[in-house]
Amino acid sequence: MILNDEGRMSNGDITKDDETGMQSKAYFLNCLDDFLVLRGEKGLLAVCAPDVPEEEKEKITRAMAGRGFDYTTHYRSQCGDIFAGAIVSDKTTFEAKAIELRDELSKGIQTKYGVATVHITDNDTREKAQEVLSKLEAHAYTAIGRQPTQQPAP
Amino acid sequence: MMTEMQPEEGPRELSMVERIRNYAPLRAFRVLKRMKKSLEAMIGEIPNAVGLDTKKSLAASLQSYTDMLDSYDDSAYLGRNEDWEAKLGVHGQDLLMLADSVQRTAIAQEGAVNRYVEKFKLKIDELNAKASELKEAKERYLSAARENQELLEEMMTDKVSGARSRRYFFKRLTEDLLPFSEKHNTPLSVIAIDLNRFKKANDTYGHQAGDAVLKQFTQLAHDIFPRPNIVARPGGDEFMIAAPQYNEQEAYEKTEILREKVDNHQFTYSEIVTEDDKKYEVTYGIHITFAAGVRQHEKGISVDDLCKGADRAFYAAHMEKNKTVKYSDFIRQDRGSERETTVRPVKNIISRRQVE
Repeated sequence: MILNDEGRMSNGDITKDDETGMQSKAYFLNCLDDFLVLRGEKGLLAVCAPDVPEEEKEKITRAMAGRGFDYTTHYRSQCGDIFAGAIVSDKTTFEAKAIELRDELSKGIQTKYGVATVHITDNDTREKAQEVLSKLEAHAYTAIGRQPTQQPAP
Repeated sequence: MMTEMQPEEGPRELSMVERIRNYAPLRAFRVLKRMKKSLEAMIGEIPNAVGLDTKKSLAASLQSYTDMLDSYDDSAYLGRNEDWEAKLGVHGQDLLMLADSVQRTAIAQEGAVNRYVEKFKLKIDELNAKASELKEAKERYLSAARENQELLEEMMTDKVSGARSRRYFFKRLTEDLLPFSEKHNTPLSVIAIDLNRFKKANDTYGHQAGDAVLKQFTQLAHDIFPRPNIVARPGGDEFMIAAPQYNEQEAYEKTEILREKVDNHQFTYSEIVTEDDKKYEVTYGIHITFAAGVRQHEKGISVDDLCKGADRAFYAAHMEKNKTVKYSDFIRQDRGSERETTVRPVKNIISRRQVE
C-alpha cells in the first residue's frame, strides 16, 4: 500500500503530492540535496499556512507555480500546510520575487500565512536540504506569531 | 483495732446539678463555636463555580449568628445561671437550622459537583481517547513516512550496485535536469558506460563476484561524479551518468579520469572455501575496463536523443578500439581493452588465508 506523507492513500506516485501535484516532501528533499550543491546563487522560499481551506490552498499553489521555481513541494507539517520552492536566482531578483508572491497572497488569501526566504550564495552553506527546509518552516511559522513544536523524525 | 478514717476537710464537692449549671454553659458555648468552625469549613468547601451566591448567603447567615455568639462573654455565664439556657438554646437551635441548611446546600452542591466531576471525567476520557487517536495517527504518519522513504529509496536505487535506478535517472533527466539546463542555459552532459568483459568475470567468479564489481565500480564513479551528478545503472553492465553543469569537454575529461582510475583499480571479491576440512578466505582480483560515450545537451533535443547520442558515441568507442574517434559526440575509446585478457578463465587469487 502506498501512503502519502500524511498517511492517506496516495495516487501511487511517491514523488508527487496528491493535492497539488507538486513534489512530495521526500522527493523534493532528494532533489534539493542536489540543488544545494549546484554552482551559483539560489533562493529558497517557504509559505506556511495553518488551517488553510482548500480553495486558498489552490491559490497558493497557483501563486507558487507562477513564480517559476525550479522545484516546488507541498506537504503538511506540524506547523500546518507548507509550500516551498527553490530557484536559481541572484539575491535582488529573488527578493523581488518573494515580495511579488507576498503581494499576490495578501490579495487572495484570508487565512493567516507566513513567508520565509533564504538566499544562498555559491558554497556558503554545507547544510543538508532537511536542515534548510526545517529552518525555513520554523521562520515561516514564527512570521505568523506561532511557536513551532519539534518535528518528528520521519 | 480498726481505725475509722475520717474524711479530710477540703473544697466542697459540687453536686451534679451544680456542675451542670456551672459547666454546661461553657461546654455549650464551645460546642457552638466548634459547630461554627465546622460550618465555616463546610461552606468553604462548596466550590465557587457551583454556588457562589448560596455560599455567600450561607456565610453571611453564619457570620450574623457567630457575631451574636461572640458578643456573649462566656465567662459571664459561669456561675450566672440566668437565662443562658434559653439564650444558648435559641442560638443553638438557629445554628442547628443553619447547619441543616448548609448541609442540604452542601449535599445539593455536592450533587452538582459530582455531575461536574462526571462531566470532567467524560471530558478527560474524551481527551484521552483523542490523545490516543492522535498518537495512533502520529504512528501511522511516521510509519507511512518511513515506508514512503523506503519506497522512494527502492524506486530511486539499484539495489545490486547502489547506483541510481533506470527509472529515477530518466525521471530526473526528463522532469528536472533537462528543463533546468534549458531554462538557465547551463550545460548538461550524459555519459553512457559499458563495462568490458563483465560477463566473463561473472561467469568465472560467479554472480556474487559480479555484484561486488558493480558495487565497487559505482563507488569509483561516485568519487569522480559526486552529487549533483547522477550515476545510474539501467541494467546489466551498463551505467549512465547525468552530469549537470559539465559541458562535453568537462564530462569527457572526468570520464577519462574515471577510466584511468578503473583501469588501475583491483576489483576484489572474497569467498570462503573449504579444503581438507579447513576453511580459507580467498580473495580474487578482477580487472575491469570500460568504454564510454559522452553527449552534451543542446537546446531543443529530447532526453531520448541525448541518451541515444551518448549511446552512439559509446558504441563507436566500443567498436573502434585503440582509437580516439571524434564522432558527432566526444567518444571515449577504451585504451585498456588489451587488458581485458587479465580477466582470466583461471581464477586470479590475490590472497588466501585460513579462517578456521
